[in-house]
Amino acid sequence: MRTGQEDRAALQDVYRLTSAKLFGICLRICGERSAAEDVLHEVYLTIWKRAGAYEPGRASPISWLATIARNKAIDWVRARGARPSHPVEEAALVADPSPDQREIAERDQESQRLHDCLDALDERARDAIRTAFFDGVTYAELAERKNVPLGTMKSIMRRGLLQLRGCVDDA
Amino acid sequence: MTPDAPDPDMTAAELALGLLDGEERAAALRRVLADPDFAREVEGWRQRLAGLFDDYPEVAAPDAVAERLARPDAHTQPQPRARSALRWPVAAMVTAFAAMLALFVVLQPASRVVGPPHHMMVASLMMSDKSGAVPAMVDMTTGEMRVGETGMAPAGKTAQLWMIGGDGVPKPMGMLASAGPSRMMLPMEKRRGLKAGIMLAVSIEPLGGSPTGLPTGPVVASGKLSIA
Repeated sequence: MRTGQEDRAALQDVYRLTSAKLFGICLRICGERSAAEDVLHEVYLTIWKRAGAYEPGRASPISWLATIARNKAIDWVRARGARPSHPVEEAALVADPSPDQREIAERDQESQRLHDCLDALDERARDAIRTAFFDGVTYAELAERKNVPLGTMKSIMRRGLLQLRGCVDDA
Repeated sequence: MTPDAPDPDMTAAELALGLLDGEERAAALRRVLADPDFAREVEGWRQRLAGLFDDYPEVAAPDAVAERLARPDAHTQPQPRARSALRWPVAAMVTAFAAMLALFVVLQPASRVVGPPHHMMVASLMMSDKSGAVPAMVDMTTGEMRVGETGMAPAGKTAQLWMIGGDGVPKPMGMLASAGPSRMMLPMEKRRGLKAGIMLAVSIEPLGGSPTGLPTGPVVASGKLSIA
């Protein structure tokens, strides 16, 4: 017979295995710890409610969770209107993520292919796509950060994405 | 790059990345609802980009979040405390999901295979003392069964896995490793009895397994199989 306690134990397993990755995502996008904590809490409540919507085979469980975390964090930032300026103590966390050797070794084939294809793009396109993904910014924010006109930013991005799709899907 | 050529239409990717805002985003979301091909394209981009999640650094989550989630009422809002019939499948999915995720994280690096999808069944074996859960997974295509690390058997004893079907009679499936995750091959005859809702259980037995063919020691963990 199932009990509420058993359900909680299962959720605690999910939490133990995934919370560091998901908190890393929330912190990076929200830019401040207290907001990232609130978002992380909301992410796990959402996972709890929506576990039935997970479709094995479509995505790995961890990328399903990571997508939920990224979207929630983006929602939080956009609902707030303005992005916070990053506090100094988080500086290390907002540096561009550069995977270490262990992380590279653990990449699966699809992830490796994506990284290889990104490396094949010209630097501006690669930088635009990576920044958009990691920081969850809009075109307008991205153009401002990179100090290029909005139309130019869109062009760089769209051509880069087209080339990326060709590379990933052909490999 | 030809400066004069129009930009390619990359709306699906732009939506998946979160680049759009305002009316552009609203229009793209309407298109997801109205156009299944477009919706598939957006999902395709999510999967294509998922490898980038690897590059987010992990940061230990604050204890406060775990504490908030551990409160008994944390998961029942906005539900009433009584368990409605509707909550059942969702709760079962969480358990199955936890099992699968645990196997992904614990066993995946050594065992990732590329090929056609296999028919998988999973269970989360809840410890009888509620101290945690152990994931179990069966690849029904190959017969390979894996069970997460248990460490359930004391020295001089062994942990034995059983399946209990509709007839209520436990059938032995194999011994679990004394340390680390277990891996065993289930012959077709044993696989045939595995269906969603079948109970898996672990009992503590003398070394070598139960001498009677039925569990003789205490059941230390159990859980129902479901289709992954």
